[in-house]
Amino acid sequence: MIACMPAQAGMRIADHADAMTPEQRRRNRIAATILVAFAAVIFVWVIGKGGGLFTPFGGPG
Amino acid sequence: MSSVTVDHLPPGQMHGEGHDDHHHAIPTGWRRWLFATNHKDIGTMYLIFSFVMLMEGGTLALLLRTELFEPGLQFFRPELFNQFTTMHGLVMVFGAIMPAFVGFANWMIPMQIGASDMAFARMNNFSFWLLPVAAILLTASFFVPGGATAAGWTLYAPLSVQMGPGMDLAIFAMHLMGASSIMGAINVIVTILNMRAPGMTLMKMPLFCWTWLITAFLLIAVMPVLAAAITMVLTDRHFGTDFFNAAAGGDPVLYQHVFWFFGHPEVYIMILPAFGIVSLVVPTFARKTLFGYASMVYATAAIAVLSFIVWAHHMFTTGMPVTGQLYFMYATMLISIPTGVKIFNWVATMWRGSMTFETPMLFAIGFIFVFTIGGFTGLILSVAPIDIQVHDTYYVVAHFHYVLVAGSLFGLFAGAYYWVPKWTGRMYSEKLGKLHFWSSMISFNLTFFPMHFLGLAGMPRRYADYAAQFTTFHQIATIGAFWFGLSQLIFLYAMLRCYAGKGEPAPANPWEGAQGLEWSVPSPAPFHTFETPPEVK
Repeated sequence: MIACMPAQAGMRIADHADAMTPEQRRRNRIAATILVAFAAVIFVWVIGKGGGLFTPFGGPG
Repeated sequence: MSSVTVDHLPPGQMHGEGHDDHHHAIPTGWRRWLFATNHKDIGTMYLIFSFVMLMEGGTLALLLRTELFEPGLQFFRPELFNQFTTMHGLVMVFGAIMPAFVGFANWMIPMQIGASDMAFARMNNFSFWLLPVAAILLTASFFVPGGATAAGWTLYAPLSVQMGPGMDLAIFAMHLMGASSIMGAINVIVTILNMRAPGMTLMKMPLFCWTWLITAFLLIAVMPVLAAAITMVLTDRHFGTDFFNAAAGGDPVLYQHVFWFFGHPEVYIMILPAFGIVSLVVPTFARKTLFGYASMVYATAAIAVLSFIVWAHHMFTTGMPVTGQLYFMYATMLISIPTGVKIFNWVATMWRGSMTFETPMLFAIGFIFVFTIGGFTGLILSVAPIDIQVHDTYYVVAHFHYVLVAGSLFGLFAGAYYWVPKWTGRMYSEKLGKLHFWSSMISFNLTFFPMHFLGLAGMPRRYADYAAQFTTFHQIATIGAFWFGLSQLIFLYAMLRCYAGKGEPAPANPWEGAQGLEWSVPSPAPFHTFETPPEVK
């Protein structure tokens, strides 16, 4: 293990952002936005459809 | 996996060696963990968290088995027994198995694709730290008036609409865990799609990355459905809606449809990453490349697609048209085809290989053997007339424990023994590993195999008491369960030895037949790896 300075001494904690290009960060943001929107739409759609959803199979038949 | 050749570097200049750690500070103390953005640290926290939850869920299971050792009520009231049953399921599914696979994903995916970290390091931190909060909410629900939720892990309405505040805590906990899973899935998808090293095409990725990519899409598609279902329960409980209230025009069966639209893909969320681990371990110890890499990828995708169209096979007894039953029956049977492709490929990989039987391989072969039994009982349960006979009996309990314990958990153990040299820089003790495997394998079967007979004889699940004729099989199952639980202490000891720096120092690649970028970095893996992307040929 390599001895290191503690992080709180004003030293910047490195993270992988250093290793990413601005183009990569931009593409990551776009992809994440699309995926979050997708999840949110499913959530809203299921609740929105609510009682009407799947009823052809529901009930005692 | 497809053959991947990495630019070889001389000793001392391996990827990450002597390079990545010295020009950035590694945070120390509690800050390192609370503010962690490093994928390896977050992966370690996920793995520790999931093991703690495994212990909690396991303890609940042993309490259940203690009560069931004899007919009659010995230790717990039936209400408390039902709380233990429900919490055992919730803790194991959302607290143990799923976070354990996310821990593996955090540790291994960036290293396997040659990325420096996950795409969203701070979101990764947030996804993890939601989990302990959720676990505290869930566990604390035992201590509120009325106790924890006792509606079963499926939280079926109308039970879940009627219960006390413990149900609200469970709903909030599942919302948090769901949000955590969605964020984790977004991280995995974006990392794999956008951050692979040059030359690491999708079809060169290790199978573990592929199975996780597909799992992540499943998570994003179905976790919002669960969130919506339990939100509807919450609004029914507190805000005057009647989604599931039959007296007001709602439909409790609607809950079952929505829940199982989440619930069946959830089964594959818990097993596909294990398929990925086994698909790496088997070729390593058979010293051959994986048979049918492309077909493995397509089979995984096929299983994921089919998982969306079979949900109502969990509901044959709730009442549905015969055409509906036939459709869900045949659609469910279809899943055995891609699953069979996978099992065929694993066996074909071993065929005429130079096999050795180190602990990861033992767990992988054990996985194939026992998971296949669980798969076959699943096929039997897909037949509607049979399912109606054994619905909500111990046959179903036996089936899903063969899939989720011998499947998911053995897959996780195979992965833990396979990669612990990379995580800690130490080799585990083969003696302890083999003892853990054989002890787990025998005790697992002792616990769950008799449950098939119990179920076929009519023993219903989630009951604290039973008729005297079931006593012998219940006693065998209880003895097996305690043996299985104690066996996991061997695993804990074997892992802690490695983390304590005991055991042989591990070389960068301790396995003769292992391929992949993670073996090109030293053991233990440096804090930062692949800040300069490797070239994959």
